[in-house]
Order: sequence, then structure tokens, then C-alpha cells
Amino acid sequence: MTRFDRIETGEALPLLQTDITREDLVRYAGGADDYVRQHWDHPFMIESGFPDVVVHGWLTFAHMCRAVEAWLTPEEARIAQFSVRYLAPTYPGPLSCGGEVVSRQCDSIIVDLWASDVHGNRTTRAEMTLVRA
Amino acid sequence: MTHEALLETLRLRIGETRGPFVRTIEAGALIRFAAATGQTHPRYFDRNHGPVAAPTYISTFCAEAVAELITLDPGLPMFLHSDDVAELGDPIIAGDEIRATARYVDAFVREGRRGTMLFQTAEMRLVNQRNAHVATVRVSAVSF
Repeated sequence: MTRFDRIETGEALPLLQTDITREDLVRYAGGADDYVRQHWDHPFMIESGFPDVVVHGWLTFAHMCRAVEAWLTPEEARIAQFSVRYLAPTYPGPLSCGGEVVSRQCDSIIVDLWASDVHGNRTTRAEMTLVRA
Repeated sequence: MTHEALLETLRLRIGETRGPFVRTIEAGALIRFAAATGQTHPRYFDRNHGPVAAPTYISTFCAEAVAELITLDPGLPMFLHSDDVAELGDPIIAGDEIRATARYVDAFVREGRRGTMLFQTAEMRLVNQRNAHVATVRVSAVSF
């Protein structure tokens, strides 16, 4: 029996904790070719009523994917589908990513995922379907 | 322009397409992206076996294929990324030639914490050099 087979509904993913810095945003902007000013123009964001620049949504979600792959590796499972909702802006600083198995079929596992900021606000939620690698 | 008039203008764009945008995938670009997203798994860095693209590398096609399609400056002061929905097929590996096409699929308004919010959605489809499905991604942005 593989590890994929042993996953059960209700299993929690180990918490992944990271810290997103402004330098990370610059590095991500270059790697992803995403230069939208909301992610780097601090004065513009302050004038617009936000406390800081906003972390790229896809970068937050990338860390959520890391939490999944730290739990069930790419050799064991493949990400087949996901839907992500950015509920509130994520700002640079500590980020926690976690999740829980909500459905288990023979060949697929569905997990609910979340990312929360230093204040415990869940800024991002996702549902992901994993299949055997 | 009122939200209703703006919405009417944007809804005329439903069905509009962009692309194909063609990109040959370089190992260095995959490694830089993996490093930028905090990856540590060797498959995302190993030049002898790819490397393989990290799961969210598909997002890098948005700048070209989707950002041109979604009206990022519809006359409202702010926009943010709101949702992504994706189905993934074949992995992206260094050396692949990926073709991206995108289509404007929806525009609607909804009342939110910041008042009337305007949502726009575009769908991007990626295929590789064998014409195999790599990803279909629906990207939504909200303006307010």
C-alpha cells in the first residue's frame, strides 16, 4: 500500500511557515514577469488606502502548494486541479499555510487549503485535487 | 462612467481572444522561478532531468496572455487578483515549446466590502509541442 492509499479524510497537513519579504516580491516579479505596481509601488498603495504593497496572489498560492508537496511529494501525487480565492490582500511578513483532507476517493484526494497572515487572518483559501503521480 | 455602463462595455469583449503566444521553456527560467517561490524539491532544479516546472509556473504566461486581455485600468482606482481556477495536464519540462491562448470570458459586478466591485475573468489554455493539454486556467481580477 502506497502512502497515497493511506491518506484519510480529516488528515491535517503539517503547517508550513514562511516569511515573505519585499526582496521576495522583487525576485518573484522577475521570475514570473509580473510587474504590476500593486506589488512594488509602496507610495501608490498607501495613497490608495492600503497599509503596504500586496504579495502576488500566485506567490501566496505557491507556498500553499509547497505545504501540499511537503506532505505528499510530487513522486506520490500530482496536482490535477485547484481553485484559489484571494479573500483579502496578503502583505509582506509571516505567512502560515495549512490544510485538511476533505474527500478521499480511490484515485483522488481533495484538500482544503488556507494561508493566514501574522494576525491569523485567512487571506487565501483553495481547494485542490490530487491524483496518483 | 457608471459601473453599469462600464460593465456593458466590458461585456462586449466576451469571446475576444489573444495569442497564440509561443515560448520555448529554458531550464534557467524554471530554476529562477522555483527559487523565487521557495521550492526545495530537487525536481525543480535538476538540469539532468528537466528541470520540471513548479506547480504555479503556469502563472508566468498570464503576463503575456491574460494581462493584455483583462482591462486592468477600467477607470476604477484599484484592481487586485481575486480567483484562479485551473486544471493541469502534462507537466512543463525544460525544452518544451508551450503555446498559450487566452479568451475573455466574463465581466460582472458584485457588492462587496469596498462598495461596487467589478470582476473580469479570462481563460488561458496551454498546450505543448505535442499539442497535449498542459493547463487551462481561469484568472479573475477585481476592480474597485
